[in-house]
Amino acid sequence: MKASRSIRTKLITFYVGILALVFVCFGLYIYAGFKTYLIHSIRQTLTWRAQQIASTFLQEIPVKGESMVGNEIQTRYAPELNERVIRITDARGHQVYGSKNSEVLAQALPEPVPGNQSESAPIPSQVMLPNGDRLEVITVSRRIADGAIYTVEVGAPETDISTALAGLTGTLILGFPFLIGLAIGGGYILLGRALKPVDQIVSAAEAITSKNLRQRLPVSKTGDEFERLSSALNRMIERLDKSFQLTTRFAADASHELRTPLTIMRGELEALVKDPAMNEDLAERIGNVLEEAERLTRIIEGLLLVSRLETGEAQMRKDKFDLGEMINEISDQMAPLANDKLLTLNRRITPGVLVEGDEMRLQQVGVNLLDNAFKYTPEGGEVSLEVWAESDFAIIVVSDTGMGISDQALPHIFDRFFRAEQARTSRTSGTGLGLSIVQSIVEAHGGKVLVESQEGLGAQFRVELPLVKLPDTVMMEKIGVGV
Amino acid sequence: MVLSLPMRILLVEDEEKVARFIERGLKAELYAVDIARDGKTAIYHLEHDPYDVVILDINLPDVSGNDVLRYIRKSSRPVPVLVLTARSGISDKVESFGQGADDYLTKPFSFTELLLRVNALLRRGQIINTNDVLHIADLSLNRAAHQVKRSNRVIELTSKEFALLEYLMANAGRVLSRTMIVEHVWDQSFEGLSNIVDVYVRQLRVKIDEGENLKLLRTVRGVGYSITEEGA
Repeated sequence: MKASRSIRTKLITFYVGILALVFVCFGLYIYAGFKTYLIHSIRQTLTWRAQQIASTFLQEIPVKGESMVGNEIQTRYAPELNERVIRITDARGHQVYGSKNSEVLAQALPEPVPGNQSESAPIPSQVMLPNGDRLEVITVSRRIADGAIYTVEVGAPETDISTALAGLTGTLILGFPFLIGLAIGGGYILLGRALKPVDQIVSAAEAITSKNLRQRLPVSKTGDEFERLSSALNRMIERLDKSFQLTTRFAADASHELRTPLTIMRGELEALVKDPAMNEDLAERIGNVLEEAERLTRIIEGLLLVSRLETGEAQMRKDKFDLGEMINEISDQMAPLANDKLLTLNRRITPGVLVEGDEMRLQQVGVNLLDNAFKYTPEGGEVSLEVWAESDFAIIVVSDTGMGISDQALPHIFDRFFRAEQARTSRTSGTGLGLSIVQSIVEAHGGKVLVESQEGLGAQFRVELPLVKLPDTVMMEKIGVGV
Repeated sequence: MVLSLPMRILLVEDEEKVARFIERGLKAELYAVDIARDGKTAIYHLEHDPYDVVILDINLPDVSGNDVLRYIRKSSRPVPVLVLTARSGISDKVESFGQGADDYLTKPFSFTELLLRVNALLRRGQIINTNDVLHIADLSLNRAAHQVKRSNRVIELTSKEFALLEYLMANAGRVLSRTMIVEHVWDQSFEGLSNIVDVYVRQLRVKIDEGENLKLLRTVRGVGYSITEEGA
């Protein structure tokens, strides 16, 4: 769930970033292009106008006179009304005609008119107006019939261009968040749909543990990457399954192979020990070896049990029974061990806490936890045992006032063959598998074991098992209430 | 047990050394023992000779132990079978009992346990020794009256202590392992419970042997406990 959300965010961030960049570049390009186009078209208009003035009105100067022509231009173009600037000067710099706003123009200089032509090429220039606008000016010089040269200047401010460009910028700025929003929203929905198979694969993969390695992930025959991913994961699970089976096989084979030599050792040594001719010292030493052979047997049994429980190969009964009653019986049987060490055993056991499972194996959980508590609590200490039901769980808590477990040891306490430093020095007769067995059995029942400890102050083991809830009528019958 | 003919046992075991120590132990108990190293030989023996008990290793080369078991169950002579196995899986146990095994022992086992189980199978159908009173030296245990006396001193025992002493006295002279005691007296078998046996034996020793010259309860290191007239 989390992974798909983050990949979604990453992808959206990435492509929205690219989209924004593209949009900005595109905007700048459009802006620049549009501006160039507008200036170009203004210049074209101005050029066309200047050439028109040069080719029509200037020709009439020798006939009508300079002032007459000026008036005609004024009437025809009304430059002030159209925000146009028009000025005509002769070759000596004398102004023949100038619109009222023409004083912004610099001193006019005639453009060279090539000898074989009557008109110069149009020259563009810009003039800063006092109000900050720029004025586009086109200058054209013309040689008229009597050989005199006049220069025509036509100008128009760029105000229109600025307005058009401001409009364009506004449109672009308005469009930007809309486009980005659309990209994010669309991407979110599309990617969510595309990544849905990932969620399915994740939840299916989470459900696969060492106990159900025979399960496989669902493969949707879409032919895309997700099909390949789930098939690849399935192949990986298959390889894991095989190596797990090999490990279990190995544990079973090894324990089988070790049993025969142990049987022989034990049989021969027992016969020796019981031989009346055997001297006491030797019998003692052989007894020592026998004890170790027996411990080896217990280790093998334990190891095989743990590996079978972990791979789900162990056969488990599924009976409903009263956990409180069972723990009570166990603690009755084990009480002499506590008495022997002058330990106080406090019991708070609620009857009627029902669980479902293999009673024999769960008895072993109780035995191992109590045995541990008794072993690691010094004489005169206290061990308490509690059983109760809490929401959906049956809880067993075994706590003691023993030596406790160090912080370094605590995370490893359920590992096979792990022994805390204190345990190592205080006893050597165990198998190192007691708590591993407890954990394996509890987990095989769908429960868990928790441990808390403070070094020197004792330890507390808490077992949580799924509680079996009976319908009310059954419960009432059980506790003897008439219906 | 004084009988005109020794009881005859067929031991089917492919591991030579295992077969050898079992054979020696059984012969010391005055049983006649034949050994078959594989299933075919076992069936051959069963066809030709009458046996009182068969001790059968379930893992055999060629014809498997289960096949031998099936053969025995189909034959006209019903023989009690004690199955030996190197596996402790419940499935094996179920399978063996399903095939008609009468008892079941996982390797490695205590020889005394094997012997007690063989004896139990041999006693089947006969009247079991149900003496009301068991005696060892001056110690007596009255099953019916639930009373224990040393000379004339009445000893008060808890019910578990009584059961433990009864089991030891019924098998006087034999060394009983902790596992056997737990299984018999507590009807269960857990690693943690075997420590309880030590506690109970210690309590029992205080009540029975303390202050007495002849100590009856004996500890055999690495093997278990026994009660004998020779004392400890």
